[in-house]
Order: sequence, then structure tokens, then C-alpha cells
Amino acid sequence: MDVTQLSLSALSDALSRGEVSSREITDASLSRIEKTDGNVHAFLRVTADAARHAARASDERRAQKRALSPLDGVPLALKDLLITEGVETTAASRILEGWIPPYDGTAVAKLKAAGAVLVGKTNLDEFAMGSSTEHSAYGPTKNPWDLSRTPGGSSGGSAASVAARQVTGSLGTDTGGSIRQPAALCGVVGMKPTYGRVSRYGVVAFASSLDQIGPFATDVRGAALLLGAIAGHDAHDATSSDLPVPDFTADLERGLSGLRLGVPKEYFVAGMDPEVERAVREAIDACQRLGATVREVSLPHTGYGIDVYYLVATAEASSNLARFDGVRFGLREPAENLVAQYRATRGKGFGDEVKRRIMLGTYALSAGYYDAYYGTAQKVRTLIRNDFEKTFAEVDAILTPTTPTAAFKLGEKLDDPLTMYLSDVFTLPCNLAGLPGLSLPCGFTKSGLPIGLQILGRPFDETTVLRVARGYEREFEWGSRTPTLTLPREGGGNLFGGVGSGKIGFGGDGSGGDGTGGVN
Amino acid sequence: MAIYEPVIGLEVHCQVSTVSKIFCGCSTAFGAAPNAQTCPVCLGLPGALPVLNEKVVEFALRAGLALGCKINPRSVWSRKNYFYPDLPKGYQISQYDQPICLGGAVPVGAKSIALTRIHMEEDAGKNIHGGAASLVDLNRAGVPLLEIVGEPDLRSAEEAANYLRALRGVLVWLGITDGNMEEGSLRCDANVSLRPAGTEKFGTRCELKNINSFRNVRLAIESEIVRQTALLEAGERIVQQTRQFDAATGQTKPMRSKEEAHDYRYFPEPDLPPVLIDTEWIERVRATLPELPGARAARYEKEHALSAYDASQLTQSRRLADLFDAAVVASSGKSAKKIANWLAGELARMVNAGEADVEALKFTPAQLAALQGAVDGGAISLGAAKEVFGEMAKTGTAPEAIISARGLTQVSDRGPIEVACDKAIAANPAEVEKYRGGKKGVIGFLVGQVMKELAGRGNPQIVNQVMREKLGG
Amino acid sequence: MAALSETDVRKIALLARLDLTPSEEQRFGAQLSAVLDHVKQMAELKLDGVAPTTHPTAARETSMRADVVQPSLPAAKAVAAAPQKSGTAFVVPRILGES
Ligand SMILES: [Zn+2]
Repeated sequence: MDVTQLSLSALSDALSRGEVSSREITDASLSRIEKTDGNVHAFLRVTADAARHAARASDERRAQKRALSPLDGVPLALKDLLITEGVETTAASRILEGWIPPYDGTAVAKLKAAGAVLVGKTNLDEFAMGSSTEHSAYGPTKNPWDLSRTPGGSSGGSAASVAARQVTGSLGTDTGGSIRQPAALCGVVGMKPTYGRVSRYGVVAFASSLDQIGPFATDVRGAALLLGAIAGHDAHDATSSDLPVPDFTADLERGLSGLRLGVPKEYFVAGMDPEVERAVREAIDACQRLGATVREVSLPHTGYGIDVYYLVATAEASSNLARFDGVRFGLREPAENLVAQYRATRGKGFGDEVKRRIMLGTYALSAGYYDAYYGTAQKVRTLIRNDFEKTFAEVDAILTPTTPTAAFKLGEKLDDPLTMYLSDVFTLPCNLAGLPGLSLPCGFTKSGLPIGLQILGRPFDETTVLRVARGYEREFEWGSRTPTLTLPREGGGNLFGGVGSGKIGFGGDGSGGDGTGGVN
Repeated sequence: MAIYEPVIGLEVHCQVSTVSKIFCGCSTAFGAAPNAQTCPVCLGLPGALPVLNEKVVEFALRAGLALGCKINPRSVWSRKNYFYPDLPKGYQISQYDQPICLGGAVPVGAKSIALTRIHMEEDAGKNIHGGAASLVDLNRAGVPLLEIVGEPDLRSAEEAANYLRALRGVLVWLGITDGNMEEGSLRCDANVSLRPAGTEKFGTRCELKNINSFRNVRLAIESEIVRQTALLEAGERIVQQTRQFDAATGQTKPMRSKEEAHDYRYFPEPDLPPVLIDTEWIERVRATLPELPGARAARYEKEHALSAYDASQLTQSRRLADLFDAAVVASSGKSAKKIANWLAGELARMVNAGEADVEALKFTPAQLAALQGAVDGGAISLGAAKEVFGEMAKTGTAPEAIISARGLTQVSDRGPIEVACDKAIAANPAEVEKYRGGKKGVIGFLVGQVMKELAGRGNPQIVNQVMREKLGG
Repeated sequence: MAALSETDVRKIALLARLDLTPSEEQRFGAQLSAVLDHVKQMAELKLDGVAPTTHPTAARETSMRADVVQPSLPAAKAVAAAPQKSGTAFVVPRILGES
């Protein structure tokens, strides 16, 4: 059994049946990281010793039939925006280089309590600001399906690590699509839960009213397991919900029959990649064949989402990032007086995109502009929420493309922030309305790049979102395909089946195969 | 030359008496080592989030209800953004356009000073300014504050100090704050402007920051009035600015501003949901409100026939008033006036002389009632009772124990008194002769001799009576 | 909502406590102006009577905590990551104009 080709839920099952040990799969995960991460650069930090230690402890628990959860012993990765006690946490920024936090965030603590094996911290756009992971101060992550392309962002490292099967699951954060967009571009499952479902305590804050932690996984059930482990009310987060946490796996196999699905016309816009549109439309047709009722719906204020997002998110960010002042932690650039020191520290410690967003947010809140920018944006946000509320009176879930295009080239949009921002146009509204959203693979482009289908649900109805996703997934299983990474100094036919040019191939070792829907 | 009228408004910051900070579980105790009372939240570490201490809302409600404010059913937290080392997050969590309380008033003597609003906020830390560097201690960061903003209804420094005293009195009375100005539990900013007497329009104001004693409130405002008057009389204009009172020079001086542009970029705090207060919560808090000082004083005048002065003295402090009530009950309601005399007279004298602290009294209401009972029953003289009271206030020893230890029991038996009278008459024939010759006043001397013989413990009434009998009327 | 002038950019950079190089000032000015230009389209909307959304979810009782003291960090741990400290106090350059 090649454990690096198993899905998260298959690994969990194999562990509970005693077919594999945590030590075995942890070693496999670490060695796969070692072999592939020179190319992918999904990780900023690998905590191998702690992972092996945790794996041994997990095996002992399993041996004594004292497993803490279905995730006990499963190797997982964490976006380096999640705070880990005793393990450097940088948010991919120079300003936090070397910072060893004195506490664990709630989601991290919950994963530890569930017995998960945490193998390391993954790369991201600095402070989660970006859609390509190119804004990391520590170099970009590459898309495992095509190393010349970006994995998306900001949780690009977490998405790529799952796509490259370094791990079968990871945590990311999603402020405007930062889980769903890279999940789509990397061909894995990624979910943003309802705002308030998962505690934000211990997430380096980007935009407090939008941020939410969520899972990446090889499969829908894996994502459901991960979500179950981190969800729930937290006394440390006043915005976390006290609603009971259901068993997110309970309804997974109920199928699509009887569900009403809406397809918003505003999400099929001019300029969209026709290959993406075709794959998504085929997926929607498939859902109908599988028993769902599909109808066109309208979310008329969709086009304003990007404006609202870039004012609200930057305004909150400009305030959230004020604490990086070189006084209590992180980088300090000494200067002759206090104001000069603040400016030098922040000027040097933050990258371009972060500075740009701090500037925009500061401006949007400043005297004389508040009403025109921030104030207006918060009102338009209400209109966007109302659109969803009306639509969800008529449908149980909404289906859309996750992104207008498949993975773009490294450097392609780097100097054009507005174009980069526009790549998030389908994922932003979900955050503005606080809804749960999921992306799962629904096909590939001709050149072999994954395409994502987005499913949006009612607040706190992750169960339906996951049910729709699983209902589609079990018929197609696009996600079981894995990229063939070409590794330096290793020829064809090696362990990972890579052949040739450093680009990509489909399911080299046979575990993927052709899905029912075919590839084109 | 125009006569100028000062227009003054105070913004009072009051630390509320919670045991933990407003947004985290760190202790609010005063005097710990630097940063020993900090955590990820109040250090402003990345990822940390605030969670509101419910007790702070409750205290704000108490203050608002007691001062007659309108309670906002939905109040909103805002961030006030500026950079300063004592402000770890780079913003202060405060309330801005939707505070918890609006309106209300503080009774100051016969006048009533209107309030604009009361809101909740977190305190900043402390910068300790040294030579080339400053030290930052964040123990204070996150300590809960109420900011009580008064209307510009005050017209003199004296009135401002009286307002602050009255406000402090109510807040301490309600148990909202310890009111300790030395430890920074109560501080105020004063807005001062002048206008020609008889005009309506406000002049340009200056804000005097961080005044931390009643004395300095008066001195700071007085000196600012003098400064502004001199400028106006010289035909100059007042520049709006923030100033600081320097107690050493007795002058105010301009402060360097924290943020050049003064653009705080307030916006609603996304990490904290709005505070929702329903009528049920309001009524629950209202039900626990104690009788306020003014109402209590009025009741004392009516129920116990106390003078207005005594009633107001007794209601200076809730502890004192509660002590009075309990002592009256312990004396079965018979000696209210006399108990009031002890507290408003002898105790007040001791407090003024620094011999006692109303907030840390040693004796119990029952002891005070017992002392008055001993006087009423003739067991000790009033003079001896004062001695006992002093000792009781300092040590909390029971009055009976002090009386017996010091041998203060009054001699009321006729036997020993007659013996002493006979002795005095025998020893002072000349005075006895004068008395019998009609100079009745000389009896005082003879009684004095008897009291000396009895070591001051003779019951004065009985001694007088026996002596008159012996001298033949 | 006009394009950002160089003065605007400098003013914002000071307010945000960012040192920008002249080339950054120029580049950011242009890029931010493009974004501001895009958001202009919100002006088409009728927003009278529309309440702002400040929080995506409703407030609840559980969003508050009881007044109970929890352990703080040990002071040495609280200042462990500080670039400069003295004992357990953070150290910053002297704050100009205050004594
Ligand atoms: Zn704290």
C-alpha cells in the first residue's frame, strides 16, 4: 500500500482498522515532503521531530484502543498564519521572522487534542494578502500540476501540500477565497465554514469580519472530518457561534435527490475561461442527473463584491496590522526617534502587497473619506447579504465556478493588483455574507490544470454543502488524481512515477485513472 | 474691558472595580512587577481576540441608571486607531457613535450638571520615561474604564472640583470604583474656554489632560482661566490645543500630540459583537441599586430628625451611612440622633485629623450602639465615652473592655460620693462660707474637688445633687 | 473620488507609519488610484435606509465572559520576544517632547 496515495478518509479508516501505523504514514509524509518540496515549496517549516513524537504517542493510543478521534495519528499541515506555541509563526512576513508564539490558537489546540500529527507550517501570501502565494516573503509556492504556475492563494502552501500528497489534509484560512481559490487551482477539496463556526483565536488577523479557518483535504469526507475537529464555540472568540456542531459526515452519502440547487447567472461572466465554464456547466448538469432540481437564480449585487471586499478587508487589515510596531515582538529597525522607528520597522518588515493594502485601508477610514468608502461598502455589503438571503429561501445550495480561470503563470498578475483582485470575484461574496462555501475538483483543462466547482450554503448549513459535494464527488472522483511531479536528480519510473519535462501528468501511478466524466 | 465667563466641561475616566481586565482574564490589581499581569490579549499579540467582561457592562448600567441616563439597547464597540507604545494593538477598543448611556445628570449641591454620555473602554499601559529610552509596562493595558462626559455646564474651577467630588461620591457609593486618585482609578480631562459674560457662543477651548487630584482640578482650571484671560485681554486669540498641568509650576503647558494628524479612523470593532441590553437586564440591575446619597440624606432628616448638615455628613460615604443605619438598629432605634453625633462629630474630627479612615473603620455598629447605651445608662460619662470611642475606632476593641481596662466606670453610688463631699467641705471652709453667704457659683469649685477625689469618674449630676444637699440647698 | 496625489500618499503613509521610497510612493499612488476608480461604481447604488453590515453574525449571550481572573503569562515569557527589554519592561526610544 502506498500510503501517500490514500485519501484522508481512507487513511483515517486504515488507521482505525490497524492496517497502517501513524509512524508509518508520518514517515511517508515527511519523506515525500523532503523529496518534493524543493520543487513545490509548500512548507516554510517542517516539524519532523515533533511529528514523529506525536505519531508514536498516537500509535500507543491506538494500540490501547484509546484513539482520540478519527484524525488520531493523521499527518496534517497548518498554514503559517495559525499560531503555534513554541513553533515559529511568520505569516510569511519578514516582520514576524523568528517569532516563537507563547500560545496555541484554538483550532491548533483542537487538532492536537484530536491526536493529529502536525508536520509543519505552510507557505502563504504575506498576512494572507494575495491570490497566488507569490507575496510570501520567503518565495512562492508552485502549483504541483504545473510548476510554472501559481497554486493560487493565499493558502497556496496548504493547498499545494495536499495536491502533492505531502499530506492528505491541512488547514488554511479564507478571507475572500483564500481556501477555495487555491483548492480549485490545485485540484483538492477546500472549505470555508460559516463565519463563526470555527474560532479565529490564534489566527494572525487579516480582516476580522471575514477571516475563517477551514480545511483542505483530498476528499470531501476528509474535509468533513477535519471541520468537525476544529468547529465549535470558543470562549476566546466572541464572534464564534454557540450553535451545536453536527456530525458533518452524517449526511454525506444521502445523495443529491430532492435538493434544490441554484445557479446564479451573474457568475458566468464575459472573460471567463470557456474550458472552466464548460466543466462547471457539465458538473451542474451532472447534479441534475443525480436527482437535484437545478434552477437559475440571480444575485444582482455580485459585481460590487470586489469593491466592498477591497474596502472592508483593507480597512480592517490597516488596523489589525498596527500591532506590528517592533515593540513587543518581531522585527525592529532602529531609528532616531519613535515615529521614525515605527515607520522604518514597518516599511522594511512589510512587503509590497501588505503595504498597498494598509495604505488603501487607512485611506478608506480616514477623516473625510469614511462615508464615501468604508461606510458605503458596509451598506453594499448588506445588499449582497440580502441577495443571498432571498435566494436561499428558494434553493438549498448555490453552484458556481470557484474561479474564472485555471491556475495562472507565476508572475503573470504580480504587477497588476487590480487584475489579481479580480481573480477572486466568485469567492468574495461568500465571505461578505458570512456563508459556508466549498470548492471541489470538477474537471481539468486540456493542458491538465484542475478546475473547481464552488458550492455555497445557508449560514451554518455546512452539512448540505458537504452533502452536495460528496454527492457529486462519488460519481466523478476527480480529486483522486494526483499530479506527477518531476523531481530533481531522479529519473522516470521512480517512486512517484514522474516522467519527463517538469510539467505535469495525470495519475502516473495508476491510483487516479480516468474519472467517469473523462478528461479534456 | 469685557468680563469673561469660563465655560468648563469635564471628561472623567473611572476605573471600574472588576477583578479581571475588560477583555481578558488578567488581574487588575495595582502594583505588580512590569508586565506580570499580561497575556496574549492585553499584550496585543497576533491572533489574540478580546472577549468582553460582563461585569463592566453591569457597572456601566449601574452608573447610567443611578445618574438618570438613557440606556442604549444596542451599543457598539469601535476601534480608535493611533500608534503609541502604551497601546499594544495600535488601537484602543472604545465606544464612539453608539455608547451605552446617553444623557443623565449629576446632582451637585442644589444644581444638577448634565451629562452627555457614558461609555466603556479599555485603559492603555504605562510609559515610564527615562533618559534615552522609555520603558513600557502593560499591566494597566486593558483595565476597564468608564468615561463619563459632562456637558460644558460648569462655570468655575471650584464648581468643577465640586462636580468631580460629587460624581466620585456617587460612583464610590454605587461600588463602581474605589475612586482612588493616587492609583489612577479616577482621572479627568477638562475642557476650558472663555466667552464674554452674557454671550451664548462658546469660545475656543483648550483641553487639560490627565488631572489626577481634586486640588489639581481646581489649580489647573484656575491657571488656565488666568492664561486665557490674559491672552484675550491682550487682544490675542486662543489656539485650540491639548495642554498638561504641571503641578510644580502651577501652570498648564502645551502637550506634544500623540498623532500629528489626529485622525483616529474610528470604525466598528469587528472582533466584538454589539452589546445588547434588554429591559430584563436593566430591571435586574435597577433592583440592586442602593438608595442614593441624596435620597438617603432626605430620609435621615425625616425619619431621625437629623439636621441637614448631619444627614449630608453621614451620606458622604456609603460605608458610613450603612454603619449609621446598622447602629441605629442595634440601639433599637432609640439613639439615632446621638449615634449621628458620634459619626458626624467625633468620627469626622478624627478623619479630618488623619486619625481614622471611613473606608477602614475598625469598630462595629453594635459596638457603637453599646457605647451610646453605656452613656445613656449612666455607666460612663460623656467625656469618658469620647476616650472609649477614640480607642474603639483605632483598635476595634469592645467598649466594655476599654471601660473596664481603663477603669472608666462612672461612680453613681451615693456612699463614696457623700464621703468625698464631706471631705471637700471639711477641707475648704472658706469656700463653704462664701456659698452659704450667697455666692452660689462657688459650688463648681467644690464639685471639682470631689471629682478630683473620685479620679474624674463621679457621675456629675449626682455629685452636684449631693453637694447641694450637704451645703443646705 | 479622484486619483491619489503624491501629498495624499505621503499623508496616508505617515498615518499608517510606513516608510515608503519615492518609487513606492509613485507606484502605490497609481495602483491605489486604479482600485479607487473601480470602487466608484458603488455610487450608482441607492443606499438610503440600508443599514451597514459590521458583523456577519448576531450577538449572543455567550459572547461575554464572567469577571474571573485567569493566570497571566509569566512576565519573562510576556517579554521574551521583545527586540529590546529592561528587566520585564519593553524598551522603546525616548518619546519626543514628553518628559
Ligand atoms: Zn491579559
